[in-house]
Amino acid sequence: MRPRQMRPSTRPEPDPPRVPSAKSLAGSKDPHRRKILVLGLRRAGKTAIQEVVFHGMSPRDTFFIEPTFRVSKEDVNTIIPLQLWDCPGGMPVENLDVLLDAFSTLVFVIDIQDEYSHAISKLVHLMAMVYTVHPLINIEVFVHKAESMSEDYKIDNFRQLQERVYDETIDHPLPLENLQITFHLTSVYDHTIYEAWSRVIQKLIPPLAALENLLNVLCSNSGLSKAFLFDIKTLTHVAADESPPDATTYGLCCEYIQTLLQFSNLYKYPQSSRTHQPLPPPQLTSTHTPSSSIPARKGTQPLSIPNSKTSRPPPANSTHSSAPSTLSNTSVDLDPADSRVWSTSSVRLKPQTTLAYWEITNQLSLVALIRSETYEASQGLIDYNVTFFRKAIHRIVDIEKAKWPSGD
Amino acid sequence: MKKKVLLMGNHDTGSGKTSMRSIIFSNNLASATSRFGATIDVEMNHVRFLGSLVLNLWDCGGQETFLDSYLASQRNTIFRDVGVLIYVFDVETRDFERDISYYIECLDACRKNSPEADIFVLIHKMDLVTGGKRERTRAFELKKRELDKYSGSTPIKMFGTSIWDETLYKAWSRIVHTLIPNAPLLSSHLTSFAKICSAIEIVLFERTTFLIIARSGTSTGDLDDVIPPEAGPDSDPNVINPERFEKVSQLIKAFKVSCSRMQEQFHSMEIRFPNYTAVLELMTTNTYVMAIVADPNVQTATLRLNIRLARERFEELQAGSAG
Ligand SMILES: Nc1nc2c(ncn2[C@@H]2O[C@H](COP(=O)(O)OP(=O)(O)OP(=O)(O)O)[C@@H](O)[C@H]2O)c(=O)[nH]1
Ligand SMILES: Nc1nc2c(ncn2[C@@H]2O[C@H](COP(=O)(O)OP(=O)(O)OP(=O)(O)O)[C@@H](O)[C@H]2O)c(=O)[nH]1
Ligand SMILES: [Mg+2]
Ligand SMILES: [Mg+2]
Repeated sequence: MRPRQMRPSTRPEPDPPRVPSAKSLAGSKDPHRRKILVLGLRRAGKTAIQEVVFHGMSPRDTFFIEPTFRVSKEDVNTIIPLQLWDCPGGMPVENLDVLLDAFSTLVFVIDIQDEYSHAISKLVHLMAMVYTVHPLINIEVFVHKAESMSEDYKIDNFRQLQERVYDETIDHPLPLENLQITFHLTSVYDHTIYEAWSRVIQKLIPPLAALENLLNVLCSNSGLSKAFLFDIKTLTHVAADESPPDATTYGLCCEYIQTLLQFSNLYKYPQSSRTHQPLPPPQLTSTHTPSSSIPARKGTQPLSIPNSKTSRPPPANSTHSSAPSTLSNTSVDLDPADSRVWSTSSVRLKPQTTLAYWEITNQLSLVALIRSETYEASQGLIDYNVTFFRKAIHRIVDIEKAKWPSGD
Repeated sequence: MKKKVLLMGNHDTGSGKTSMRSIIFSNNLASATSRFGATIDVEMNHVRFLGSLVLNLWDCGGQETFLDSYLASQRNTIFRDVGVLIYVFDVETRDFERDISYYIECLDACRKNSPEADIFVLIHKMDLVTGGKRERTRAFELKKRELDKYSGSTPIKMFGTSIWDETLYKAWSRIVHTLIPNAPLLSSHLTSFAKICSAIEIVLFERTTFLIIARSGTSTGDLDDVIPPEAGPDSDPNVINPERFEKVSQLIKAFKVSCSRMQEQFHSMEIRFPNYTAVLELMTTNTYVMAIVADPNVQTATLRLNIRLARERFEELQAGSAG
């Protein structure tokens, strides 16, 4: 496993800056910051897609966004440092004060409701420009405002638009079809915008393979059927395990995190208010105290590992003989990952799925789908595996952080 | 027990009656309501609430031709045997005068035909008022003061609502609360149950609507009887959101709808955050209970066990609540 090669870090993890620097601030010069250029015609939704994902603006409030008149650069810290360049609609890229090869990614937003031939010729023109200076740039086309159309109609439109772009690139004198272009169907009114940004950002994350690998190991050791590592501030997923992704599942995980965050906002009791009373007796002092039915609950002690064989769950998903086993045998050393209480949560659905949530770092959380039988039978073991997963993630994050300039 | 609930209000572009009904009782999301067409005449729905209480909802189309006929030829059918009248105004109406004149007539017809009916007024679509909370309060008070003139001797409860936030749950919880006779008893049991669990507070929600049935910490059972939870000596009361109960209703209701998209049903939830622990699960066949605990020594397993042990008692209590 790759993380083993990485040097263990002993310094406590610095708090990642959670709030991106003020909007109008010209972004920092730091070369590690991957730059993303957001372009498109006027009112395509360029500012909205950034406000909703990176500032948590409610989709309905995007209605009041003013048109953008000048390029605004904004630093955003997800697992890696990014810089978003929001441009006025239809602005020619020649007006930018840097060359196109400064950017890792070009996001091009097209309003699906518009007559889009103008947008397509703009896009193809742009492709021709980047082809000569920066053919390796990631071009990400957001076919946006998709929620405004019925399911069939929007899929048709999406396909048609891609064909039109393809035809025009084929006809072009330059071999534009060699550029890396990806199309996303998006809307700020549902999770599709988070999904699209996840895909865009994932391409820029150097240790992505290591993260995915960790998730795969965790899934097979703990009988998880699907796991996402989320950046909770932006609700994008930094990585997912290799099982086939599914839009509904991802959407539900997004909403789960949103629900949890809003819920915890309601109960922001100050830490000091916690009283340390002895455990109350697990009984109700009413006339109804059944004597027989105090069930022993398994799995609430996270250290019940030695007899893990007894709590072995039934094979969860057939592909691997998914008996939970410990994730790692690393000796437990002092680690920032141990030094605080991490939030956890779970939601039981009927008939068979449990959603589970673990806070991993201040910024990242793990959300997984598990068969409820598996979760109930081996919750302790899964929690235990997650502590190792957490340590590995902390190491990766620290190594990435070490590359950031210190002033950040 | 069966209760006839009239949903009325006039506004040619729709004051939002069908929208609220479908969000509260039919698991629709607010965003889905923009596709609703105008209600033609009266749409009747029976919804079961807390098991044995049946709400007979009459969603009355608000276009003037319909209202005119409710007040004339259909007068008796509409206004007879009304348990609750909910009259809905659009806060941004272009013709408040005309809205009021219909309101006065409906109020009169209702009081004459069903003198026992509880009457509520909702000033709806509050989200459309530009500005912040202050502007919304001002707009609400302005309308309320005007409408109070026509209330007569008995004051009429008015709420500002919007399908886009928790105010919808706040108003409807208060409305259905008038139909639950033993709410004070439920409330006092929740208060002692909270003590047993070392919980800061415990709230009981109706299972399908997620409206608030009762909560700990009120002696009267009145949902607006605000006693801040015991959050420790040096806690800042401003930190505790006074709207938290209806916010939870709104949050969990929306989350439930999302879960059903996965062909699964929401069943229960646990949250273990560093500063509090929450358990939300079925209490009785028709209610959910939410327990909030700040004591880090209390395990969720213990809470769940306590809930399980209390289940039978609450089934009994609740059996008495829907008459
Ligand atoms: N229906 C729908 N409308 C959207 C969506 N995203 C943005 N909009 C609306 O599109 C309009 C324009 O959004 P902006 O973000 O200002 O667009 P822009 O591309 O930044 O515009 P300029 O800066 O003027 O070029 C706003 O009214 C948004 O509410 C979406 O996903 N669906
Ligand atoms: N902004 C806003 N719009 C709302 C609200 N409630 C409902 N609406 C919208 O108002 C429109 C009309 O809603 P309906 O629920 O059909 O209104 P109605 O009172 O049933 O109308 P009739 O059946 O004709 O009497 C819909 O487009 C809703 O989305 C609200 O709280 N705020
Ligand atoms: Mg803009
Ligand atoms: Mg209607």
